[in-house]
Amino acid sequence: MSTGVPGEAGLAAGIPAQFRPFWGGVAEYEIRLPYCCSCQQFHWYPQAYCPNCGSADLGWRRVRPSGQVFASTVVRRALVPGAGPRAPFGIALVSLDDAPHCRLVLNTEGSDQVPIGSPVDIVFVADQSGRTVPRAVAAQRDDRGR
Amino acid sequence: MAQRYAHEYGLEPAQTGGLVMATRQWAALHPEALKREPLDLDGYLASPVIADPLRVLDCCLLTDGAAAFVVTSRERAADCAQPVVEVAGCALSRSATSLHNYFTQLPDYLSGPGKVSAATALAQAGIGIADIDVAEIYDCFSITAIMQLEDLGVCGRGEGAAFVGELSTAPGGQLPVNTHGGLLSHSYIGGINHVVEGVRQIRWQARGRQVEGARVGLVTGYSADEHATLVLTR
Repeated sequence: MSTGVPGEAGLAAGIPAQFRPFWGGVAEYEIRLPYCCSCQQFHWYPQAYCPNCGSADLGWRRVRPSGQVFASTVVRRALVPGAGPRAPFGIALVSLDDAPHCRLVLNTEGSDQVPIGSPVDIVFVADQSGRTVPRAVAAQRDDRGR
Repeated sequence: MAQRYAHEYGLEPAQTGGLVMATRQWAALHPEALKREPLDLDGYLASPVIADPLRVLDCCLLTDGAAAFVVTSRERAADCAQPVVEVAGCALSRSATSLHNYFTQLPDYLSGPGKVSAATALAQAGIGIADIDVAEIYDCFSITAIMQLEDLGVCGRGEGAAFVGELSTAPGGQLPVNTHGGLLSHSYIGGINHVVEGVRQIRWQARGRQVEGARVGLVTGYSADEHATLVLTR
């Protein structure tokens, strides 16, 4: 189900196999999550077996690029190699509207903390190397609980 | 986790700082602790922020070192030179959410598997948390020690921050915690230094930092989805 997705064709070789469907989706401006066809639940991160029921019958499905900030912070001293000059930058754990039990780790815009509980949209921007990456931005909407 | 804790319960710099300062007070009493210089709240607040709200001083040291302990039968131990310290309880636990998905899917984000390992080890020892005289708690970050105090039952949910903010874990406090200086001020050697210190306290060999009359000690090890609790008695 995850093979042959066009967005994956242009991905860098260094991206591990289990993450290629995710980044292939991002290249096409979509968020795709691993989905268990047996218990019909999303999970994150990708695994060989469903963390909920143990099934290996897994695929990938598109979810809406929106959610709510579960936790957030501002990284002032970056420990990831190469990220140092970007600090300070905001990051957030975002619970997805279509999979509230799954939280994506996302960069936010700028160096301010996006408050916990804020609705966010996931947008797609080019990073310094030109690769498309997802980013959480405060949503201009007030339609929680729909 | 610290930000989520702050969101749900409130978390002031003087509270994380309270744990850090208390730990440093203990370290000052230990000749082998790496960080022994006095630390007050101004000194804590001057520590650079790594990721809000955690500062350098909220994060454990990085240390090369080694330690060892010998486990044997009660009969052999009784024949050795040192006072016998008994393993009255020892339990491991693992979260139903694996490390792989821990931070992205853990349902109860502010409680770890320590809740299970502590309850199990205390039951093995036939005691309750109130019977503990001294605790050596895996303090990889200030917030993880605070959350474990809650999981162990020392404090209620959301009450750990206020507990450490009152310096309750310092010398002379309600519950002496990390009496060697912990991972924050003694050394980061994977927590085996917590076991060594727990044994020394129960042997009454902790010299200037001895918790007087300590008969029951509790030691924890922690790694997100995994937790271990050890109960030592004399």
